Amino acid sequence: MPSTELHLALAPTAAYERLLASEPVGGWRVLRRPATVLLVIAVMVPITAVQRVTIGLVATAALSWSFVPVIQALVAIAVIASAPQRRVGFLTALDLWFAAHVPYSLWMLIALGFMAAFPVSVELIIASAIVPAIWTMVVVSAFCKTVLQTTPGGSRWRAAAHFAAIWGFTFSYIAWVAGGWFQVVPW
Amino acid sequence: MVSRLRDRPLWATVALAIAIAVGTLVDRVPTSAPQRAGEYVVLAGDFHVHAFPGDGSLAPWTLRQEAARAGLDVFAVTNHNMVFTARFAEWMASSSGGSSRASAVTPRESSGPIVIAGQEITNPEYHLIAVGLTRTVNADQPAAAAIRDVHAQGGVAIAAHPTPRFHGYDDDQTVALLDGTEAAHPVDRVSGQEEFTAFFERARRLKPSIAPIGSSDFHVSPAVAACRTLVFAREATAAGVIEAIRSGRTVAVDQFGHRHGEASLIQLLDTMPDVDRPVDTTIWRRASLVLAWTALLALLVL
Repeated sequence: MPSTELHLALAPTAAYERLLASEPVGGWRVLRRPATVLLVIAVMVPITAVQRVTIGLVATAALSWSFVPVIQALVAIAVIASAPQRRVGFLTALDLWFAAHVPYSLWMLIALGFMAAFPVSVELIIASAIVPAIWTMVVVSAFCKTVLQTTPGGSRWRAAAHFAAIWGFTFSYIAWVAGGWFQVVPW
Repeated sequence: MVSRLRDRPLWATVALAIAIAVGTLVDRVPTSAPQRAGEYVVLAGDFHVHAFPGDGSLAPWTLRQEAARAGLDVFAVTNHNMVFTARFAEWMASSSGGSSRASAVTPRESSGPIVIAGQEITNPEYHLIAVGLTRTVNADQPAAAAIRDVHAQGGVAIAAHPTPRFHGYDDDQTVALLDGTEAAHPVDRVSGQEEFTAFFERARRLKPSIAPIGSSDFHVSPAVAACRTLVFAREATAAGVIEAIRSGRTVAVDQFGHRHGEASLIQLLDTMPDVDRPVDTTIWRRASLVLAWTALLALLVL
């Protein structure tokens, strides 16, 4: 039976309607999906970089890359807070937001797994991220319409704002650590 | 049985834990002492490695372990236009004992490879590896000025992946200021290696003592020490390594195993066993990778 998250990725509106009927999420349970996101990153980074997976490597990668779900959470908080008419409480909405992680998590598994096994340029891997990026926009739009009760127009701009925020941060970070914007946009 | 089969996420979590445990148990760092060649000790180095925080994927202490696994005696952390991570890596290495600027303890006999702070001075017109820095070098200046700043700090300046698109090295006077050039750097096409070799030959005509350097340029891939430098140092310290590079006593080894440098040094290497990259063939390590990947996939989709 496919996971809830996979259902969500394939049929987001119907899946969110079903999830809204579930028990509200509170306390530490709200961390399980961000923890899954971090687990995927923490395991795939050492697999890709050094073709090893040990307790030390996974723990260090988890610590190093923990800012990724934090950034995602900050963007989520902004989007959720922009729609006070939502159908669920804040923590449940945050949990449902993170349930949409499958497109990016699957991309990490496939793209980084491919990179670990075969010689492939980093630029190609980054370019392939357009697939989960667009896919996630569709899921986020469904989240806004269904969970946050926004209008179709409101869903679209929130999804676009989410895309802009995440990729704006990503490219800004790359530009900073790579020595300048000319490294990101050579022309 | 049916109810237990429903606990697929639990299965997957257990499988992932087993994969990580197996990977941990089979993890071994090879140990062997650097070899001597006459008055020199031959150290395997990688002088172009990126670390996290920065655009490297691994934290400094993890990187040091990987360098040891790759058979390196010394490596330089060279993030783009910053030395914070490199200085931190250098400090961590010296704090753990043995491998420091001052100590003469053989790296692989101590707690790990020598770590040297550096920077990839990144400018639209050139990339320059600086090894042996204490502070960031301004990248917003011509290559010649950046090289002088590196020298003022006691470091060495190495042209990074010097392809024709980097016009900062068009001037012969600038090239003559260099201490080394990456004669071996991972490429996905043969013509790339030919460009690096051609630049090295040009640099050698301008400065016969220029050091051929082999580097991995590790970020996420290729592997640390994919290309490497064999350094003929008088002593196994950071200062000894920097002196050897400045004097041109290096041989660059590319990803195909070809050696670039002085014929006399290459001949010396031919008489020495065990200078090539160790190969890890354990089936258990590969099994742990496959199991970890499969378990993650199951966690996501089941």
